[in-house]
Amino acid sequence: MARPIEPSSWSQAFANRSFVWGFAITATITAMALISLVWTPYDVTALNIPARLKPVSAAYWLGTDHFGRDIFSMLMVGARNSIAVALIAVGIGIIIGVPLGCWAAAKRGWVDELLMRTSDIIFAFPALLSAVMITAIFGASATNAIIAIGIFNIPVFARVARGAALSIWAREFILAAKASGKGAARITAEHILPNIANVLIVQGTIQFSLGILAEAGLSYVGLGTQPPDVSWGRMLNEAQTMIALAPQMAIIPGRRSSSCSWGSIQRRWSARCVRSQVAAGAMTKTMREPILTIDNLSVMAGDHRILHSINISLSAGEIHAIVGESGSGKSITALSVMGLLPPALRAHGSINFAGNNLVEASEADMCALRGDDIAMVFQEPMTALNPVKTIGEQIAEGIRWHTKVSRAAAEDRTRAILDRVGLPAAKFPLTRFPHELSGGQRQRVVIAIACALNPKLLIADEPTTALDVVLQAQILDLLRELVAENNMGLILISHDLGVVAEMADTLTILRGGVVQDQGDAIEVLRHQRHSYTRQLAEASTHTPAWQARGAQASDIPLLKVEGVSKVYSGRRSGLFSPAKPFIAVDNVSFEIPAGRSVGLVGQSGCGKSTLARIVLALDQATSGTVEFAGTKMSDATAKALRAARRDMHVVFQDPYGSFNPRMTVEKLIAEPLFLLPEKLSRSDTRDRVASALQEVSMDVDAMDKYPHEFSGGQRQRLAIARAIITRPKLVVADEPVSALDVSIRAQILDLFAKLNDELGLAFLFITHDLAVARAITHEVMVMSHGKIVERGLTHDILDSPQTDAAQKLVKATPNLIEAIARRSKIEKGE
Amino acid sequence: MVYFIARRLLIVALTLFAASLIVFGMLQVVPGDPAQLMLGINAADEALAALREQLGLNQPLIERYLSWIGGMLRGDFGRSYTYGVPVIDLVRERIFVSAPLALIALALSTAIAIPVGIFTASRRGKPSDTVITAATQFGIAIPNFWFAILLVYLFAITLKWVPAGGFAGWAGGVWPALKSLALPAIALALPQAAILSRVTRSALLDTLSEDYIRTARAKGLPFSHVLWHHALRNALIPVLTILGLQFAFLLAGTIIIENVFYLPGLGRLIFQSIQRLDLIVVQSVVVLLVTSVILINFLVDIAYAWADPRLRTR
Repeated sequence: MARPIEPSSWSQAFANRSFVWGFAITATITAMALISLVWTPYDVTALNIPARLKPVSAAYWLGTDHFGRDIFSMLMVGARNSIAVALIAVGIGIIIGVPLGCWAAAKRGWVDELLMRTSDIIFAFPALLSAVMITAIFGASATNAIIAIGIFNIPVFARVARGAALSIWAREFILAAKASGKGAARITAEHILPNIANVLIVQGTIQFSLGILAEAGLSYVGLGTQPPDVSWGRMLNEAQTMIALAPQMAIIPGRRSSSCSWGSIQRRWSARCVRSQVAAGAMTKTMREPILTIDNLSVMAGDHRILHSINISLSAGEIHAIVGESGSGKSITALSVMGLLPPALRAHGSINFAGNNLVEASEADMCALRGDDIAMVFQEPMTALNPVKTIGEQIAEGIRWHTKVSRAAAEDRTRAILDRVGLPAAKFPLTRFPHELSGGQRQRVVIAIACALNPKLLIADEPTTALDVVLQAQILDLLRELVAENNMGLILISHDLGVVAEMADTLTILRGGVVQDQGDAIEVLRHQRHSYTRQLAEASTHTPAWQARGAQASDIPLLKVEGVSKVYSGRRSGLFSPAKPFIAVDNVSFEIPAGRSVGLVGQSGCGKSTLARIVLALDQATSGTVEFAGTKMSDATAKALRAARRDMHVVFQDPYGSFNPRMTVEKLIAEPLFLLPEKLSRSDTRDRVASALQEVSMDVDAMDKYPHEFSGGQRQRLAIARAIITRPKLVVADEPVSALDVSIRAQILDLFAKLNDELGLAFLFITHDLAVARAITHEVMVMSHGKIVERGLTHDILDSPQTDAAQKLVKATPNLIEAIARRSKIEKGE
Repeated sequence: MVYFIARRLLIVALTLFAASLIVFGMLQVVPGDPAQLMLGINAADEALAALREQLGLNQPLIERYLSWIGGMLRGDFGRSYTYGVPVIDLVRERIFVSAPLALIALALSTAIAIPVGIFTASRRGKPSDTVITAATQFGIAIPNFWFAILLVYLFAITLKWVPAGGFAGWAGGVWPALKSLALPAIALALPQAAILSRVTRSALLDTLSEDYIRTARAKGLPFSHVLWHHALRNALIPVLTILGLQFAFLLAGTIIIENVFYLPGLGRLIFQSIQRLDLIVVQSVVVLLVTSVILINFLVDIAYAWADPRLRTR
């Protein structure tokens, strides 16, 4: 799993050589400008005609101009004026532009539209032209130059601030702040500004550079700084007439004005810091005629071994699963076979495929194999396809490259393979673009690309992890059929033992780059001889030891949802056709009693998350009412709403996105305390945070750390600590464990069970995974196309689903124990 | 797509209208009497009255705006006070200097920047990339008029290859005219090329780390094919944005560059008119330049939609 690396610091910036250079140059020039306030080698206002146009010498370091003034002294004073103009102009832009941009991002709607259109209009005036015009009309002076440059900085900063702020507003930690009752102004001050500050600083340095250039330009044409004042642009203006006589006058200030901007620009480019994280990995075993033999494969990252001598062998028509948690080396193994390891990694050992050793094969040989005999399917269908090419082009491309057939023949073949993967040409013409398809359909296109030339070996790296269970089952069926039809070998990489038990013939279990267990899949999973195999199997079927008192909870509803609907206005499809509304939530009613844990299950896109946001009053329902602990949320007073928010909170899916990276854990967890009627002292706050941390089994000293110092599982504990700090009565959890490894997931489920037992917390669990629902809920509601179609006790619904939607979900959910039992029977021939 | 273009055209019309209001408004907020400002304090009363009449200062604001904008639409830009000829005549002469200059500079900077950007991106981290990237850093920071002075010093004064300034005119043949535009075009183009090549490089590098590049590599396509067929078109979007902005920069840049080289173009016209406070000329030329910026941005928007199918439905 790729983890976003958060804030880049000054020490990182200084590790960059070009940054150090730029910084040094900028610092020198600034120092020169400051020193000129108190001292210059010569007086720049006094004329000294006998000394005019002297060349460079010890007395005049850079020579003199036509009035006998020392050019070095003028340069120092000029720096002062040029920097002052640029700095004030940037200041004007920031002071007016940033608040406007933040306002537009917070308010959206007409404010946003007005800001965007106004800045469009201002951008239509080339900045320098407008500055020329303004100074012409209002008189040429340094002050007018500052104002003219400053005015055009306003829309620049407004646009940049708006864009950056919008992307922060979309993050989950903003939702958490909203759920803590904070208003737009407070969220902007506490969360938005600190997170867009670095973007603004970068833009500030760019505008500063441009300001210096603009001042130079204006003064050069005589509309900026007026004589006898000195600035760099002014110096160039006076120099031009003299160029044939005294070139040193023109060349020196020009170079200064360029290197100053250079410094700021280098800072911009070094602000980006990219790091990649690399996983680690291992494998063993032989059967029939192997098509792929991985022998003693190790992968090194420099001196660090991340994959330890693994052995795998795969025959035609066989499915081999590689299982492990994040960082186990599964994907590294796959990429080694493809010859697509990141450049920093080196593979050793041998990978034998059709008589070639792929570890030593040349790039040209690998290109001939890839996409023809060996193909790969990736995890994330939303980003795996090129957004600017049609699906037809993307499939036909590989066919034409490898077989050199005509375009028409390649397109025929493309249509055939699309039809095979379940996208018939009648409904899915070749001219479709990826963004016109859903996630499941896109994954079918990726499979079509991989299987277009009937490869002998297919590698599928977590092909269904980004899909819901129903889509997962469909994609797995498709893969299984393709293996059988083409007698293809499949390496299936997965973290889900249930999926593996359904699919795999043979199995390798990896941990930290080392093979833990290997062999016939059903054998390995049934006997679980290795302790790590046992551990994984237990974690993936884990049910918390749970007293489940909530099952007999009172009948007084804590949460009462009545006739709630949410309708989005759709997108226009043509100039005259009206927009079709989209009904996300359709007349939903339910109740949750105090202390009860209720699951809300359904396929992706069924409206679960929208409903959750409405329950949390983070979104307005189009119609219907939500009543929480007797308060009608839609028409509650601000005070009543605060009280209600105090009693319910939220935990999100993504443990990386749900924290503001620039706040300490103490501040993050204490955020909902904002809802308390009285303001707590610092020590009381720390006490409350400490006890919340203890409740989720975290060390108290976590308080002073930043979120990026914690693993995914730890962060999810922190998110839960934040949710329970005000002692709420209800926690809404949106897919809280689906981004976690199975062993971590088991621990988090235990934690939820404990909180229900000890604090009597009611839960609304939103999930597409019925195993989670079975583990932690008393009741489930099945949602489909915006409606709740079935509701009942969890085991009733999971054991005998009544509606179509529920049956589909239950049938699609992989079940480790059932799969082992079923396949063992088949093997025994019963 | 039709809907997309129609919507864009509507925005163009509205922006043009707003821009004309701003230009018109600027003249109205001139402190004091515009006629007095143009003619100076010692002007005779009859002259002032005549100019007021010509500027329509005696008419109500709305009528004045309507007759001005109406005239512009008919090609009647008014009469220059200082030159004593219709503004349209002044513009017609000079546009054949400024337009070729801006277009040559734009073409030159694109022709240099895109290959350089592709080259450095495909050689990321190698010595050739480091050297060129450092050079572009320098190019970004150079004021174009200073660069122009250097060029004049080197090619005109020292080497005497090209004239130091002035314009030979198209009447004397294409070659001498192009020769007098060469240095100004280079002075305008190179700093822009430095920016554009950096944008191309970083956009390409961003694109090359995308998942779909890995998908394309997994099809067995060699790196160069993936670069040209998959990465480049996706990287074009930020490049187009900068290209649109650069046109505005180039237009503004001509004001200064034409002064450095004493070229009789629109930039020099506007500059001289400002110095002589001939606001009728200023106002018309500004509207003309702004219109061309808006139209170029419209073309860039259409190019976006061509480059990225996701934008067509918006």
